[in-house]
Amino acid sequence: MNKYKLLNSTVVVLVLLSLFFSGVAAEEEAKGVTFEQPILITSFGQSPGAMMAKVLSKRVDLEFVYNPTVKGENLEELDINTIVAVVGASGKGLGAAGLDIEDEISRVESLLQTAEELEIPMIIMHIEGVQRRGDMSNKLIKTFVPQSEYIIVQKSGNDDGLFTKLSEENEITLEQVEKAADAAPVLNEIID
Amino acid sequence: MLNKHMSGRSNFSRTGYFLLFAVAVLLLTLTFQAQIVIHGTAEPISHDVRPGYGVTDVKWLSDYQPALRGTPGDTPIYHLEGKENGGTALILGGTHPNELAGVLAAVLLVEQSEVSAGTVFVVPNANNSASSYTDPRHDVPEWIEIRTESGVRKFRYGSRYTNPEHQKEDPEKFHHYPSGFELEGKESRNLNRVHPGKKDGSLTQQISYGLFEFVDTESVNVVIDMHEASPDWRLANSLICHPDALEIGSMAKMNMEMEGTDIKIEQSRPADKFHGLSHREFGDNTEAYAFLIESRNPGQGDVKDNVDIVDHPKFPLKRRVKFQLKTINHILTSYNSFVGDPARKIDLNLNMELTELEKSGLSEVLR
Repeated sequence: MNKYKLLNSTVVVLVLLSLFFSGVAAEEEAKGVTFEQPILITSFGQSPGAMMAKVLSKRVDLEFVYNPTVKGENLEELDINTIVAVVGASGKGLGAAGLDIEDEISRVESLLQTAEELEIPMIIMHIEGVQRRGDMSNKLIKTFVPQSEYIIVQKSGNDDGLFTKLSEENEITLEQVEKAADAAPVLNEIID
Repeated sequence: MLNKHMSGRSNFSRTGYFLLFAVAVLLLTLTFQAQIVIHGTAEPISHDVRPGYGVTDVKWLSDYQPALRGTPGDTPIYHLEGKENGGTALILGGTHPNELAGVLAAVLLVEQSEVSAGTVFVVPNANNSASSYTDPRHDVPEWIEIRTESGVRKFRYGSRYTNPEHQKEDPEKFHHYPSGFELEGKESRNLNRVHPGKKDGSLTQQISYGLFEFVDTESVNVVIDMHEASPDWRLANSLICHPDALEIGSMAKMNMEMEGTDIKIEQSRPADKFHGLSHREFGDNTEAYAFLIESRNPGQGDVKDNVDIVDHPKFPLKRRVKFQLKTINHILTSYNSFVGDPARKIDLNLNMELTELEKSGLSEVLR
């Protein structure tokens, strides 16, 4: 009898755990959004955050294309199913890419327009913490986060609640992580 | 005829003696001027570095750029070679000798580390001329003293710039070689603005040239240049990576964060926008992955009088040295993981716990 009780309890726990882990994905699916591989890892602002996302994607074996400066006109040929965009402005990174902030905004606008036409969903990440929250980064965050389907943010980068506010206003799921590396299991969980 | 000849000979002799005298005066003058310009007679200054068991050889920068021999720009290069073959790393302290955390971290590597795979080269005083004087513009001590079991040890609080007595007067504008990029004249004495240097250039350019020759000759895989910055400066507490090294830097940053150490990561400015910086030039001109570390130094920027750069309450030297060593450790671990090739592995082991360094201080870990 005890043996059966133990078995039953284990089953209940497993069911609850599986419900918990599939909850987020189910929530997105209910909205008609699924995130599938291969993914495009790109940057909105040319900070090293996109490279960090590449490292994280390698860690969880996601199939990806890494192109921090991809243009809308090249999106279709990449044959990807999800955009993972890391937002964060870097003067050095923009300079290295030969862009200024206005060029970068135009590039991203064109990219997102094509993504909408191709019905490619977007996950936005901000994983460089409060140190990557300046005026230029804020402009990119306010402009493009509302166009995403999912937000992953390192907690210290959301100290002022900007991501929470944008998430609530636009009904976008927000996942806050303690450390940048904690974003890897989240990506692994939500991307099929 | 003979008399004429004799007379002529006699006249020639007087003229010859005059000419010889003139030539001798000219040569003496030129030699004197050359000494002023080259300042080749001064010896490099020596520092209190006490090599530990990990040091397997010591060479001089002049072994790679002979013109530096016997000049204030020469400096020792400590070799720490592991028993296993592997990759190679060059770690520079004292590019700016007023940024002491880099100097002390390099000294600690020489004194308290061993390499099990690959080879690590350490230069505690990369610009030794700049180590020879304290910048008179700042109200800072000429030496810092640390009491150890062996007694009091003194470390020179040097300057950002090559000693002006060792290099001819600054030009009005400095034109970086070979790009021609224009900077303020005094930057001609800033080692971290003159890379990749010039074989027959100024003393500072020759130091840089020697370092690049070293990296080429020894096929160095990783170059790490340790610096400090004013705590409020946007690049303080940063790891700056050449674009080719950005993935390694990203891995290092996230691993450090998992251990509770926050560090910002940036990539080098583009080559057409700025020249002369170590992370950019080593990355562009050699095969090495190039990095620059910046810890927070209360002795830089808007410095208050009598600031305590050793035992500062917020940014003590021991914590800044720990930050440098921890970052080096994570760069090398991430490099190993990135290249994934045992033949290029670099295993550097500190003979102390970094937590212990912060707890007990430099006095407990220096020899």
